[in-house]
Amino acid sequence: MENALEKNLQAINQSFGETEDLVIRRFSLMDPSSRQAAVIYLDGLVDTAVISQHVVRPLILNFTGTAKNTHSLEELTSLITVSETKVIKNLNEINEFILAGDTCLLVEGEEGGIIAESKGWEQRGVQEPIVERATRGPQEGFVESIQTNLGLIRTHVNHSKLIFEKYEVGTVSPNSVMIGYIKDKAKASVVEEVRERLGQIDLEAVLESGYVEQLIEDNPMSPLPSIKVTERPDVVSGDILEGRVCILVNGSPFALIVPASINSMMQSSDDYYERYPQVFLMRIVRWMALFIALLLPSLYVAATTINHEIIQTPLLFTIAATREGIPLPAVLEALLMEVAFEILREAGLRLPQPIGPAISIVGVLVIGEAAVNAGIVSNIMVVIVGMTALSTFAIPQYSFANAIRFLRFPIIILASTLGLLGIGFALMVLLTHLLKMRSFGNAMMEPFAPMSPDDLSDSVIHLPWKTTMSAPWKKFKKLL
Amino acid sequence: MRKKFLLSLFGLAALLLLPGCWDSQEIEEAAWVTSLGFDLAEEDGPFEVHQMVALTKMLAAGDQGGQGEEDAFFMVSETADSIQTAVFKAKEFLAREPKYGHVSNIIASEELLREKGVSSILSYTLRDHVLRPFIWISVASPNAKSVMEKRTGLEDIPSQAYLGIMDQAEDAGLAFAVNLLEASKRYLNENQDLVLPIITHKEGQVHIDGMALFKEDLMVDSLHSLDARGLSWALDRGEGLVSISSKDEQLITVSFRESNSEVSVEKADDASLEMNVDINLQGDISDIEKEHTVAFLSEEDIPEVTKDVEEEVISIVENSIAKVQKAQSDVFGAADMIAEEFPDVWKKIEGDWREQYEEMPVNVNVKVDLNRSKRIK
Repeated sequence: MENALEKNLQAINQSFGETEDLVIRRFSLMDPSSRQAAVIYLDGLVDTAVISQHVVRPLILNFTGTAKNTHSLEELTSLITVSETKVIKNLNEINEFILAGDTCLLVEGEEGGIIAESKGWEQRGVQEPIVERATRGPQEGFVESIQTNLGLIRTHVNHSKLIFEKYEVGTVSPNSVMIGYIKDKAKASVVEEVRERLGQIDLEAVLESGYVEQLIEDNPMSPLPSIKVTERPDVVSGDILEGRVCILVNGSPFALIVPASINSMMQSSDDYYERYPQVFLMRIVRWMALFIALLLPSLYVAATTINHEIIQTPLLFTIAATREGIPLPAVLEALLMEVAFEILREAGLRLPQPIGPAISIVGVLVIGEAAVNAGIVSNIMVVIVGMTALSTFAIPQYSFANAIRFLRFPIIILASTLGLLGIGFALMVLLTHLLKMRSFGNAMMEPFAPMSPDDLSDSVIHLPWKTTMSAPWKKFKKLL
Repeated sequence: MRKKFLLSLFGLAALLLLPGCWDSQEIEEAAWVTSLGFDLAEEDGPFEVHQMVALTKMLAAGDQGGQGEEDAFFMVSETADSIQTAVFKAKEFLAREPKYGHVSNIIASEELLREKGVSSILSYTLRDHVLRPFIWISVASPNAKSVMEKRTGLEDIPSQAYLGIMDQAEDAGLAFAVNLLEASKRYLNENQDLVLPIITHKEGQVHIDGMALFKEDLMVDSLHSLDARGLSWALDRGEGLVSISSKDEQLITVSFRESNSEVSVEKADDASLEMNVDINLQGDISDIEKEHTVAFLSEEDIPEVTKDVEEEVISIVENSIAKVQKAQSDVFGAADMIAEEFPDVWKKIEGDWREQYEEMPVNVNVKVDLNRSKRIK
């Protein structure tokens, strides 16, 4: 950097490609020297009130009664009344701070500039989580701002050993990625592994935590996720307290939690808030839903095309009666309906909000009533697809539910060619894969394999807390 | 990676070979046979096979299917010199492939069983790999066709009704069901004779009427009503009820809740063999008929009533066993018991065993427990 103001301004302006939203405001310092000065910031990223009130105003007004002729940058810093200031002499560094929403003050004749904290862009307030609803528990979800998210976690975890580490990821447009954990509680090896994998990300930009998830997971080729994703601060807090590590990405309301397991993906936050009879029932229902979502269409196809003998005679006749006159074989019927449902689901996601309800009614009519009346699909298939779709949404972890939806199709095809044998084969392969899968050193099938009897009481069955030691803060107090 | 790929390919190929000839078949493109009936053919015989096929489109719920007067089943009958051929010939009449996985009963006519014997049927069913071992086999009187043609009130497809009718008959202690597995076991065990329920029709209604007795391969006799109940008790296959006339012109009816029995063979003092049938019954007094009165028993009457009931049961069982012995049908497997316990005696009597069996003395011991006799004064 040079000490001529105009040259510095020009250099900065040029490095930003003379973009229109780079604001340069010139003024004179009201000290006896009356030197020229300028503040530079990016419009939209800063709180302009902060700049005018706490950066420019003191510099213009507050020089009364000073004896010195000129003031160094360090001396000027004491006049600026924002929370954080820094003196930086490197042009590139200054650029980075401006990009992050800070303001830079340059003064004629001074080499370097003062960085004043002035971040203040428009952001969404804390709202109810959109994907993960809960009937009971905190009704707040993460937002796009990483600072707000850190605050949300802090309000749940009142512990001085809760540590956040910051990483800048992205070679072209760096973004902050934070990992949070409780020191001495989280496994050091897991924390170290997370650090290392984050360090290995070689990407131009990280816009969402999904980027990070796909780049640090253990099994990127697997259809099944091995990292838990949540937008609930209370879920992250619970997991941190149990010794897991969370990863937050600026700009994304979804936090990542490692290590994960299939069991953890079948848990929902209100499982811990509701009383046990409700949870006991819901856990079993949820696991049933998992198998229904995965297998029901394939079981139907296997039973109606190959293994007729597994159906009870009256049910066989009922199915045969409803399928009477349907031109498509059962497997095509199943695939057709599943694809139709997937289209409906995808369209429902993309639809503009005002026309959404109208289109879903059309979709329901097309898929259900009309197709049956036209004799293209059977009633019972509509029941099966409906049941399967509902069951998919009973799985709390969205990414896991998506994986199950994806796996359904190959199993349907296997069932149509090999019957129950094919389903058995698919399950065998899936189970073998699951047993092999690791998430940051932990087995995905925990606590089933390797078996840990203590944690089994919080898996498919959920026992009252009085009888188990798996309550997170019970363990936590013991540690203290 | 390459090795892994090849290995999984091999696994898939091996898997494709596993189901063998088991091909896929759409459920609605099959003709579901629900009952098989066997009669003695008058010509082109000796076997006439009737197949009851479900007309699935008539079974649809709501307004989709046909309801009302039309039958939900139809019959395909064919004659041939072997059962398999007759079964196979039915394909000529069916627009869809007949499937036998859901056959629930096999019904063979009395005539066929008396002439050709049960072996003619078992030699087919034992070899068929689709027929389930737990389907019921019964004797049709007078023939399978006349029974299978009758519509049944509560079920659209008669085969479904036969299952219910059999259940109810078993509950009433009038007959008991025998499945293909048990029949085959009894038959292949040469020393134990078969006993099968009889299915017949009266005034357009299908019903179960007693048990058919077999001597080796052939059907020889049948037991009806009380005789069949006596056999059910002796073989530990049913409860039912019994009525006795007691003093004061009362007709007391006892219905049994639980029963167990045991048949054993023992050597008497004079080295001759005799058969013991021990029956334990538990039941309630469920009805007392007395003219123009609602009658009650007192606590003191119970032992006497119990004794009367025991005597009645003994006489029923004795009658029924006498008929079984007369038919020389060893349904109890007495021959096996003798061969096992008294092998030296068995060697001596083996030659004329059937005659020995007919003459064998039988002791029937009955213990009745009326432990829940309601409405005692």
